[in-house]
Amino acid sequence: MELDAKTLETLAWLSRLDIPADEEAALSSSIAEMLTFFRQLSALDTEGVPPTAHIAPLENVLREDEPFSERLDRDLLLSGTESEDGLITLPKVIG
Amino acid sequence: MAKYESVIGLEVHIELRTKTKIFCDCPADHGGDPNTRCCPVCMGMPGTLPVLNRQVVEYAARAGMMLNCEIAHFSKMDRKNYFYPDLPKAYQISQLDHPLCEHGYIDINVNGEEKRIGITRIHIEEDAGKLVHTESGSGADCNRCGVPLIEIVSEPDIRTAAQAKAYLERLRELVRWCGVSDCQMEAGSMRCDVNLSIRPVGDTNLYTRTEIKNLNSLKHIAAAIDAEKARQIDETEAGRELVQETRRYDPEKDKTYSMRVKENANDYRYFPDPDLVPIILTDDDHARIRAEIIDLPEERLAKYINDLKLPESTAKSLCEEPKLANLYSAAAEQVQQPKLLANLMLADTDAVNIPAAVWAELTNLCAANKINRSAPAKLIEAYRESGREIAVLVRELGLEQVQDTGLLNSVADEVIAANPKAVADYKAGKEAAIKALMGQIMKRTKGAANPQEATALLKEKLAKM
Repeated sequence: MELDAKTLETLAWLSRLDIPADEEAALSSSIAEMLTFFRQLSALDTEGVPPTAHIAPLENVLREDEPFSERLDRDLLLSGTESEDGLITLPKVIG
Repeated sequence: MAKYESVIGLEVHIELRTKTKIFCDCPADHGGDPNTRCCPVCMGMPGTLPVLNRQVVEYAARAGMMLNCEIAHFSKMDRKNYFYPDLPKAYQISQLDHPLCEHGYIDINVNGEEKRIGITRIHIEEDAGKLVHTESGSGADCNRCGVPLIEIVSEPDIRTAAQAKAYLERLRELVRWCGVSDCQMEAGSMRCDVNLSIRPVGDTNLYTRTEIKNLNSLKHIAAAIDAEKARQIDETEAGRELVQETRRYDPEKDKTYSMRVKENANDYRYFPDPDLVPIILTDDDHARIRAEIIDLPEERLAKYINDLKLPESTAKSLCEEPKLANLYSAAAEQVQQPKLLANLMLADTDAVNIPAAVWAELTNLCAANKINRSAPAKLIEAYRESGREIAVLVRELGLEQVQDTGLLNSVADEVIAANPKAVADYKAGKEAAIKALMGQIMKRTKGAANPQEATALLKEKLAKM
């Protein structure tokens, strides 16, 4: 199955990836292979088979609405990122 | 007659009043310094696992029942992918094809005209954080990340700004009433997006719509609807094609503006969240949740007025705050004088934090003249400080009303002997002079005398003089 340049460009934008021009061809054919594999799967008759919501045979994994008394220290929480006055530093979002 | 009509659907986000967030045990209430109410789970750090809060499911189902929805037996969570810095995971956990509630409605009444507005669906999802914009750049505060929301999507059944307002008011009343949210638009716990298109009157097709986002008051919502309808009519009359887009409303200019969101930006690539398993609600679960809904606000109001004989204004004051109304109903079952109970409760600004049994006890003590009418306020204050039994506090504070007629008799005699001028004034026809004598009796008994009894006794003694 073919993957056209426009679709690859859209996928890259949605994933916020910069794809170097010399890698486009290889990536296109790699994704095309995956699509071919899924096309084979879609040939199966799934009439009457409910869609899988989760692969584990579990349901209702819930917690009670009780707060945990000890909070992680903010300095520790923010230690992996740049921050200023307790706010996570971002590129300017609005002018 | 208007040539065009608006076709309006509303998307309303309401924060649920749970103690903790939807997928972690961080506190869910507003406030706190930036990033002090978050954790690796709601900040989307790698290797963390969300676990759904049971109360979120129950509150959302309760709200759905209140809005006449069918409640799902099978529901699941999905990931909605988009990049924005207020959402550190780069996806929002929401629901796509199996929302918790569907097919509900709200009946509204605008200028005497009844109308039913359909509710397409209600789903549960997590809120995003907040961005703070400064001179140097932007900063993210994740305190709101993961606060539980319900999104209530209406059918495009609304035609006018007045209908939209009526729908939102009723929605807010019902959701507040069932106790799952305070629905305060100004505080952001209820937010509304408007979807609007126009069509010639009589036409039943749907045309290109726009979405107006981030409206934070009923007044702005109504004004934005009128402004956007006018703009769409102008565009159409001028022969220009409308585009499907997101717009914002500027209340100062009373106009809507395109937010110029990038084309193809809305490709959310939903898929089932592999970290969360399906939610199954049995018929028993449905029945249990439904049992928590007692009545509708108007039914309660009618009961207070007709059965408990409360004045309408008193009944309305109680019903304004669902917590207060529920507390009142619980206490009213234990008293003979529901009106006295209502007056005591409404005189206290923080009545909801005192148990129903305490309100009932105070009412019954007052009704039996065991304490006087000024004692409850003092007792409530002492109860708040100490949390001790009312009967104990009455004794400790010496608030028992004097029932001992012998004592009252002798005090009255003393007061009459000590105040010849007031006695003479009273005998000369100045009835108000009895108040000075009453004041003396209350002083000498430290407020414990029953005012009615003391007045009657004084009058009797003075008449004999």
